[in-house]
Amino acid sequence: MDDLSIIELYFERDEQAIRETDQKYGKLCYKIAYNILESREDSEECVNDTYLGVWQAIPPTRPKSLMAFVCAITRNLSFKKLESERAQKRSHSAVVSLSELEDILPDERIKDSLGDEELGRLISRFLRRQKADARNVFIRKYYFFDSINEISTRYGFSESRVKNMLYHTRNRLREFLIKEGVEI
Amino acid sequence: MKTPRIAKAISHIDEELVLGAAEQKNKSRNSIWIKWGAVAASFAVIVIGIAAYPHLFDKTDVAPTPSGDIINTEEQYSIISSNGIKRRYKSFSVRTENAAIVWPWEYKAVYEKYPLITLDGREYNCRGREISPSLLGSKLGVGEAKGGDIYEDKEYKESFDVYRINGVSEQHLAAVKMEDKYYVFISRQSAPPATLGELFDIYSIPENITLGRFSFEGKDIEDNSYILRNDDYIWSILDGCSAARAQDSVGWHGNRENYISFTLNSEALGVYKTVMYITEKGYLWTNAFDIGALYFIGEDAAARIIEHARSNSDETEAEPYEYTLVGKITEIGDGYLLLDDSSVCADEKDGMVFKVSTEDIRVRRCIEFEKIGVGATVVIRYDGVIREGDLVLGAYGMDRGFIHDGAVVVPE
Repeated sequence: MDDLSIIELYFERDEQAIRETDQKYGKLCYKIAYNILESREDSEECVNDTYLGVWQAIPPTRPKSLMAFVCAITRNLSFKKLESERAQKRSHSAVVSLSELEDILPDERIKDSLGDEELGRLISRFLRRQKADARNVFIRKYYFFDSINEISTRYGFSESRVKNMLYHTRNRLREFLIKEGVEI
Repeated sequence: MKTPRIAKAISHIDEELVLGAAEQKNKSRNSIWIKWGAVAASFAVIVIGIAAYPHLFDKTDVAPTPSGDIINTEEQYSIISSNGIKRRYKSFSVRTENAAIVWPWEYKAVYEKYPLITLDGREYNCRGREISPSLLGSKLGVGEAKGGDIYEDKEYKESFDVYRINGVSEQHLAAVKMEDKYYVFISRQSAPPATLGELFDIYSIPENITLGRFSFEGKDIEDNSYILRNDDYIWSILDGCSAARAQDSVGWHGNRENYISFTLNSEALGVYKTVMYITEKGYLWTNAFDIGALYFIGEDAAARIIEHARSNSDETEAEPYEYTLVGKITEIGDGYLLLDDSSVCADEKDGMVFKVSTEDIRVRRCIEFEKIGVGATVVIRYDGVIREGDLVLGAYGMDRGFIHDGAVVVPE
C-alpha cells in the first residue's frame, strides 16, 4: 500500500494502518533500533512503541514522508531506551557514532536557546550543500546508524574512504555550525 | 548514556534528505501487489485502484498480498472494463511499484515542486486537483512557496497568486495559480469542524457535491453499485442535522454495522472519489477534507437517507478508483507512446494498441528519467477518456513491470 493510503488509514483511525506500516517499514524500524541498541528485545519494544507513537501523532500530523516520520520516531525512542538504565546492553557501534557526533560540538558548547528542531534545520541546510555521496554517507551513518561495512557495501566505497568522508563531513559541519553562531 | 544534542537534532533533518539516503543505490521499491484476475472476474472492473480507496472498513477480500509473492489464480480469464472499453485479459495479478522516488526538480509537476504555500501566515497543502477559472472569485493575495532540489542542493522560492473559490471559506480552501493552471489547496487542520452544519457551511457542500454513485455495504450486505436519481431529499435531511456534533472517531469501526457509502467528487473542493458513509446506527463519516470527520446524525435521519437511496436509485457498474491499462510499449514518439495489450489478453489476437499521451510530466519522466522504454511492460494510469483511434488522454502515471508465470511483476 502506498504511503498516502496508509496515512489515510491513520486519519480514519483504522488499525489496519499499523499492520500496513509494519509490513512496509517494520524491518527498517527494527534495523534502526537494533543498530542503536543491539538488543532484539529492546529493539522489538521500540518498534512496537513506534507504532503507538505514529498512531497518536497521525492525526493531526500529516507527514510528507511516512518513512522518514516513522524512522524519526524509532530513532528517538531508541535513544530514550539507550539512555534508560533498562537498556539490556549498548551497541558499541552506536556508542562510537554518538561520541563522534558529540565531538562535533559538545552539548555544553551549544546555545541552550537553540531547540533541537532549529538545530536540525541548520544541519539540513548544511547537508544540502554537501555533495550527494558525502551527504548520504553521513545520513546512513548518523541517522540510520549503519555500520561502516554496510555503508561501504551500499555505495561501493572502500571502508577507509567512508571513514574519511565521515571525518571530513563532521569537520565541515562543526565549522558550519560555529559560523552560524550555534556555539556559546 | 546521554544522547548528544546533535544526534537528537539529526532526527529533525528534512524528510527529503532521509528519503534520498534511503533510496540511493539500494533504491527502495516498496511494492503493492494487487490481485487482478480473481477479483476482477467477479467485479468486472480493473481493481488496481482499490488499494488507494480510503476505507475505514476491513477489506480483507482485496487486501494486497505481501510483496515478493506471485499470485497464481485459478481463473482462466477476466473481463476488464477500462473506461468503457471491455478487455478479456488472462487471469493474473499485477504488482505496481510504489517507489518513493525523489524526482529531480525538472521532472516534478509544478505543484510537486511547491506542495505547500503560505498566505497571511496560513499554510495550505495542495490537493493535486485542478480547478477551472470559472469557479474562482477574487484574488486573495500572493502566497509564498519554497521547494528544494536535493540532487542539485538548491532551494527555490516562488510567489503564486491565490484566489478565492466561490462560495467556500478562504480560511479553509483556496485556488493557487501555477503555470497558467489553477490548483485547489486546503489549509492545514487539526480537527474537523464542531458541527455538521459548520462543515457544510465552510465548504458549501450541498452546492458543490452531487450525490451520485453509492453502494450498500457492511457486516451483512453485499457490495453493489447504484446511482442516485436525485439527491435533493438527502441534502434536506442532512440540513436538518446541522447541529450534529463531531464525534471522536478513535476506535469507531463502521464495518460493525450496515451503511451506505457515497462516492464524493467535486472540482471546486478538489475532492476526488472520497467517500461519505451513513451508517444504520446514525453516523455520518467522511474523509473528503484531509481529516476523517465523524458526526452523529441519529438513527432516524440515517434510516430515511438509506431508504430514500434504496428507492430512488438504479443499479450500475462499479467504477474503479482510477483507470488503468496494461501492456507492452511498442513505440515512443513525440508526445505519445504506443501500448500493446495483446500479451495480457486471454487470446492474443484480441490485443489492442493504445496511443497514450505522454504530455504529462508524470508520464514523461518515467521515460526520460526512469528509462522505461520500448519493450517494457507497464501499467498506465489515466483519468481522461479513450477517444476514437484508441487515443488515451489524461495519462498521469506509469509503472514498470514484466510478465512472469502469468503475473506482471515489478523487479526490485
